[in-house]
Amino acid sequence: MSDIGKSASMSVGDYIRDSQIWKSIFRHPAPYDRRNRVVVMLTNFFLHLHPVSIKQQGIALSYTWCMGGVTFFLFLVEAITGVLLMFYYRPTLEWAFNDILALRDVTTLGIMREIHRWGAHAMVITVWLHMYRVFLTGSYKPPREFNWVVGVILLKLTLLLSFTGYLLPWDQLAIWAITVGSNMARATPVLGHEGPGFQFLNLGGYDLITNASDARFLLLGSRFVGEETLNRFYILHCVAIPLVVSGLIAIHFWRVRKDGGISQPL
Amino acid sequence: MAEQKLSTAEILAKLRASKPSASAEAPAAPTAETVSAEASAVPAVEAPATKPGSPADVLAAIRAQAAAKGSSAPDAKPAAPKPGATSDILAAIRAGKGGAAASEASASAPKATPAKSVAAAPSGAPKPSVEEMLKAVRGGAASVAPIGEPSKPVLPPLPVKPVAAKDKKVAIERRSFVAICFSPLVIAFGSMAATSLLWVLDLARFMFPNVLVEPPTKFKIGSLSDYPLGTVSTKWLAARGIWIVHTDQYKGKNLIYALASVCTHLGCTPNWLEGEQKYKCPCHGSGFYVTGINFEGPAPRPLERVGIRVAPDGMLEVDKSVKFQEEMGQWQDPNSFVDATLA
Repeated sequence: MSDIGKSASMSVGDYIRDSQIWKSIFRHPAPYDRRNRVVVMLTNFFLHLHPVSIKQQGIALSYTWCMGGVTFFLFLVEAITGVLLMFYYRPTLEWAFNDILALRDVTTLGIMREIHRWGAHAMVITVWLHMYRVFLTGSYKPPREFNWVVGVILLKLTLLLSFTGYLLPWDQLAIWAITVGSNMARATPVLGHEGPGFQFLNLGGYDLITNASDARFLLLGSRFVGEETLNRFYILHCVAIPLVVSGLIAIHFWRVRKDGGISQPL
Repeated sequence: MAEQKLSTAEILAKLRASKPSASAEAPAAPTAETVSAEASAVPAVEAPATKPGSPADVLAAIRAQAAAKGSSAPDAKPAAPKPGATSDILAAIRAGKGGAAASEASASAPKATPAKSVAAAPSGAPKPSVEEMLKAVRGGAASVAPIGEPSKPVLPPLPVKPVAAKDKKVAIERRSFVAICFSPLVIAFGSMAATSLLWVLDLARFMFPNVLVEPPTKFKIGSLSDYPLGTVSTKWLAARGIWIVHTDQYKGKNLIYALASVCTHLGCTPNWLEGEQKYKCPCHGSGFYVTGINFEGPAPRPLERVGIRVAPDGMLEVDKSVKFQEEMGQWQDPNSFVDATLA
């Protein structure tokens, strides 16, 4: 009996791997020796940021805590669950609260909403722990000072993501938390209509900074936390801030490699 | 060449001199005649060789010599059958073929490396060990300098360095300021910078909305008789965010005024507690009297009044666009209250 589907000389796997389709997708075979592994790592889009080899003691858990990696993992979890939640959430006064309830009670795998919420809390905790670890190990010293600055900006953006996302369920907790939080912006020096110095921005007798044109107004999109605020925070939370964060994360990782590797040079 | 450094031939000659019993007859004769022959043969033969005079060469020569004297066969055989190394040829020369062997060997244009000759050493002769041979070389050539440096290959003459082109001094005048300002580079980058700046400013303005969807700031709330003395009305609390207060406890005057339902601590909505006759904020516990004066909790100042008046049609009209703060003395402003005794 002949082996149907199999040639005498190669297995099915080999047949697939020799096909034109496979070769057009995967430009290199799986690594089979040290030199080939280097080639694959250097020419693969997804792998090229990694070093080809790394010192084992450099990634010791007791030293790095792996909090940076965990934070990045949580960011990916948040991004994916967030996109999925967007399919069943409408940022309007009429629907916001009800859609969140529906996600919890009616939608299949609506557990995404809980994962998203818990992941957000966890991400804030891990990003603080990461910052703490970097400080304790002195990994902010030259040549890594700029990477520390990038990290601080990422911290602020993480907290802003939490702040804007908190409003989206549109429940009492959300509305009042954002009201109280944004009221602080009224008191901004010069730019807040209840803060010191707003009188300086005055053109020909007209105050430029009023309760409809100050920093708080810019943040909320209106004079109180209402529908415009919900829309504005939705866009900030889902699009604007994630774009900036993605770019900064890329720079952050790049600088880790270029400034001397994680813990020590390779 | 023979004078400057010791060629292979000279080293071997010295070896022979130190070992007269081993190789007296055969190479002795051609030594003298081959010196001149070698002078011509060596350049022709050594030119293509890799390293004449290297230890491998010497060893090979010694082995060839040992084989030459060991076997009775003509010594040209080790070299003639195949193109041997320089040392082979030299050994063949010394073995007695003289000029004939030299021409024969040189005509064959050897290309093999010395290693080949080492490997091609006749197997019949007992091969002296490397240490022995080196000792012989060193011992016999005590006065001899170590293996001379490889002979310098003859190089073609260096090309003549071309004379660099002289910088032609082009007379260029100083560019005028206007010429720089309107140069393409400045125009291009300048316009890009200006456009970018304008775009950033426009972006800032873009983020301030021009249309606000808010409840109306001026609205009528009914007649004075709707709000009896000693009451706090929550009728408009949900829709408009105000309490209508009719009290005589503020400085003994019988007044109707509207309080904004915004806690002066951080902005939550206090609750009017009818039983306790006070406003109590659920967020942090700020407490206000019925008149709106704060008395407990973190609130730093009294609740704010909003504008109120009696409209021409006799109805009460509230204007939320103006506010009055008691601690600044603004509660004396007649726009902030309605004198109920005049109703």
